[in-house]
Amino acid sequence: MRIMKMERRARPARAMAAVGVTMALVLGACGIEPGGSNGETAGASGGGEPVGGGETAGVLNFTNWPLYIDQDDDGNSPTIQQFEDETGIDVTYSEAIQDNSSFFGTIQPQLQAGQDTGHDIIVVTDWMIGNMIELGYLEQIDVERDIPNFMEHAADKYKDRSYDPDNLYSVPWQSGITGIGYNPALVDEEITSLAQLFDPEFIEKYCGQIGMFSEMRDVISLALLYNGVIPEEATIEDVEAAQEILLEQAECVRGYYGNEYADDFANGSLAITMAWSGDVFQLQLDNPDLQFVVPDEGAILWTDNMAIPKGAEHPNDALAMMDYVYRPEVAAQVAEWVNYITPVPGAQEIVIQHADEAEADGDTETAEYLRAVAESPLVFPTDEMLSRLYSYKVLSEEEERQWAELFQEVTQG
Amino acid sequence: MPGWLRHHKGVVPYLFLLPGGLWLIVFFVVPLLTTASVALQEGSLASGYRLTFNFGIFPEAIGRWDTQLLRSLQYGLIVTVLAMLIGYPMAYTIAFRGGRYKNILLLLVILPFFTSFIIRTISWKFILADQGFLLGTLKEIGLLDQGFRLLATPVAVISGITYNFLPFVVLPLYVALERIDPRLIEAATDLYASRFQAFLRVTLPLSISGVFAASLLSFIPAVGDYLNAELLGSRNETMIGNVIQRLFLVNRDYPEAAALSLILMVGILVSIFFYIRLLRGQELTV
Amino acid sequence: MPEADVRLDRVTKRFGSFTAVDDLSLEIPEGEFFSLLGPSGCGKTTTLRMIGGFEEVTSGAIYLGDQNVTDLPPFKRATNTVFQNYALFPHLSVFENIAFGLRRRKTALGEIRRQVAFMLELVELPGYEERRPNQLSGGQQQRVALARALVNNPRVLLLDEPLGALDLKLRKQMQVELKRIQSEIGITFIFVTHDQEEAMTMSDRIAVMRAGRIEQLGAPEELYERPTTEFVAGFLGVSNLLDGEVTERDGDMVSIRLTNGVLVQAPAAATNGAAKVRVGIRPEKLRVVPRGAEVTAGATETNVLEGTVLDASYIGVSTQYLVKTAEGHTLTVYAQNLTTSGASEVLSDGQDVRLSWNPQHTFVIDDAGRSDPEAPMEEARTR
Repeated sequence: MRIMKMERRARPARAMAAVGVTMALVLGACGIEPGGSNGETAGASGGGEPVGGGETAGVLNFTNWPLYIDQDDDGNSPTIQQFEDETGIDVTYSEAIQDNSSFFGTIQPQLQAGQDTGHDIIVVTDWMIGNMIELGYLEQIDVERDIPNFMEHAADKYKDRSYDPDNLYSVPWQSGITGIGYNPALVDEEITSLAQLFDPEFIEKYCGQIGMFSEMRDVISLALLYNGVIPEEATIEDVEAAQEILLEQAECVRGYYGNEYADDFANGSLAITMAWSGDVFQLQLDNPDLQFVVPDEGAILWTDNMAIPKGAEHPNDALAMMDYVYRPEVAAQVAEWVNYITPVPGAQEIVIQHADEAEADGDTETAEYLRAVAESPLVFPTDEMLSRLYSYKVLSEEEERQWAELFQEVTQG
Repeated sequence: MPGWLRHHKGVVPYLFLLPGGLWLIVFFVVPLLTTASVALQEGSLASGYRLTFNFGIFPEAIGRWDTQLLRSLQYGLIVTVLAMLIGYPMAYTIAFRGGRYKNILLLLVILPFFTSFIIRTISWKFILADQGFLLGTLKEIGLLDQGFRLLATPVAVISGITYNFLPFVVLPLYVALERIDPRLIEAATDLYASRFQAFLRVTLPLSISGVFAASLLSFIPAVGDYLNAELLGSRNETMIGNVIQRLFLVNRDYPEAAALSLILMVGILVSIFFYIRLLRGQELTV
Repeated sequence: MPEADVRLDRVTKRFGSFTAVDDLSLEIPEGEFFSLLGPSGCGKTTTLRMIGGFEEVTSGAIYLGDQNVTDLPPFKRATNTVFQNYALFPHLSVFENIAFGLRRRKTALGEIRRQVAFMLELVELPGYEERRPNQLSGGQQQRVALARALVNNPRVLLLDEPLGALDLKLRKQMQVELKRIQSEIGITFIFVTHDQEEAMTMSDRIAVMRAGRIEQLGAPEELYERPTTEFVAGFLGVSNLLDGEVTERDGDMVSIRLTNGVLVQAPAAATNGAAKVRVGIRPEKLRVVPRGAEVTAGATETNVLEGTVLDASYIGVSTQYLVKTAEGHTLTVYAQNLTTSGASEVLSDGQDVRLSWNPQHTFVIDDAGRSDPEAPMEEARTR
């Protein structure tokens, strides 16, 4: 039976934390040729032939973030093992992705040179999917032909995404919400609004106990929402106005965190902080007082997606895996462990079913845990909550430069 | 020795220099030139970079990050002075009073190096946490105000850097002090110098080469450090290393990052130049 | 004897369980050139360092004049030191080295200049003011070290093996120089050395030390001619020692029967009344002639022994013989080569000879103080 251990936290390193630029990255930057210079950019035009429709090769290199799949006590993933047993495909699962930018830096030179990266499936965040589509770095896929489980079981919301509208290049792995976490022991009032993160009066009150992220898109998007701007529609003027808000707040911000915000949130250094839903769910198991809210003004729903890098050697195996994880029982198994939002709503029922089974076995601890997973809006968000969630804007290169520059003035000014 | 070498003995010293020279060329000269070249390019990853000799990047980068540049130099200076104040008595005691425990004491000085730099700094974060066992306890017994904190303050960042580079200060000072003949200090006290005067007139000037080496070995890495500011500081303690790191790895603005790296290098060189001028009155060779 | 300038009163120094200086008392009058002589580890340097204030005494007291300085640090004592290897400040010029003590005592600059110049004159190094110590030869460094100490006009100058690092020729020259300077300025010198010849050349009096104690104290000729212990006899040159027993006292002289039955005479002043003794004769005091050769009439060398030449080595000014007596003692003899045709005078190996010496040249050592005679003898030879 599945035994969930609380210390086994799924906390994919979502933010810029890795240190040490690779030589390839620096030297890559020296190259004069532009990326995707061949002009063959598949782009959003939808041209080109999708991969797949053929025989599997029996080998799959699946590259993901750390702690982003179920693990048994030996550190193996039952999900992967079942897949291997069923299909005979030998899976090499690695957790090499620490953050989008630097992972991209490591594969960019090969992609630019038109070589195989050695990865058959990579998992990157939506905006990076957008960037890579634009650079022509992803293989096209045919979800209707090759990933029928996706068509059948994925929530509708995941079938129409601004960064990859018709799932021509990617399917979601897990989603999460960037919202507000707060510690009621340190905060007098209930937090419901972004105003309580950005209003001067409130900032002063909790000065030095406010946590923000170092992930540019997350932070700017929240400030945009505070100003009443939908992130995907933001103009540069909107971002400049958002920067004003962030600069005013900056003096009282304890830090611009990566994943380690969770430590400071848990140990009482932070009263109110930006937070990722999956983390707070995990923290609540230790400290049920900690709260996560989707503010009235809205929050960000981000999605990490599986995609096949251009030139990958085993696309058919990759598609087989993609289809496999969209089975509700597989999705449930992963969701029970990682506690982020699964793109398969049907998984909820299966989690409840697992809880009942555990109870019948007399394992009340596991049953309680599974019930908490099934009932948590952080894992299975309500429609009301989903209606207040927005996506990141897919940025052009020029926009990305401008945003980054404005944001760096906030975090390091 | 092969025959041809025997006839060209003058070549031998150069052969000995070859591995080191190649090493420097591959890992210092080439990256330095690359950095300089990147700084002068314009463009982006998608559209490509072109060498446009954009020298305007330098004043632009200085204008934008002057606060962080100055802060880094300032922190570096404070760290160096602090490390010297802490390290000199340590090195002095080990050199003159260590006796047969000298080697053990030196080992203890470098012992922290056996764990990674990051782990050591993270453990500081743990120790200094607002409700950690240090501050938490002091707050519990009412010695500190509840709102008091060390993390995310210059004190934490400067202390962290000082701690991390202390061995770099102690070791060269130890080497310099250990070389001093204790009879010179006896001679000074014999010649009517008090213990303090003997230190001031003999020990200190004779250890000045160690002071010089130690201060460079702490100042240079301290100015370029970013890990301590990253882990122990907040935006108000951002150092130039953090800016460069973010420009390089997150924003992927390679030209500005490269330009700032060069500016930092020049800033350090200029500081060292003035430092040498300051010490010139002293004897650096003994 | 004038009032003692330096006085040690039952001074003991222990390092852990090791006693370096053992209940030592000593008085040195003003203006004396006094040497502490002994092998390494005998406590001579420790004694000097306690006088200088570099070591604390374990017990006892040290006086300079009538001032008890036992607990004063070096910089409060009217002593100055010339260190082994000089200990010149490498970062200071010759001028600043010499001026160091004056500056610490806030002497006016004009006065400093005058005194440093005077000192450089005294040690014959004028014009060397701006040199650095590492630009000087060993002898020059030695002179600077001396000037640096003397310029402070100390009551007592302490010298810790100051000539040890110099080559033989320079050492001889500096010995003369030191003696000249000392008589010129007339202050008390306490000189530590392991070189008996150096000590004898310069000193007014010498204390021979051994294992933290003074073995014998006296003027150089007294120590050489009348050593009272085997150690002193061996340390100050080579000596021949023969066991015997005092049989008769007759006014100024005593008769001693050696173990071979031969009767020899010795001055009564050389004995201390003990019956079992060892009789000592310096090798150069012995006269050696072929057995049967006529003894010059009226000769004073009335003590006589017979033996056989074991070995003869011609060494220029003298010839050294090893002569074996009938009882198996081996005696060393230095015979001066008085004639030019030296070779013909040399006795050959295996020749039977007769040794004789003046009874006045005999010294007597109380056999009770007998100790291993080899170690100090070896020491004296190898130096």
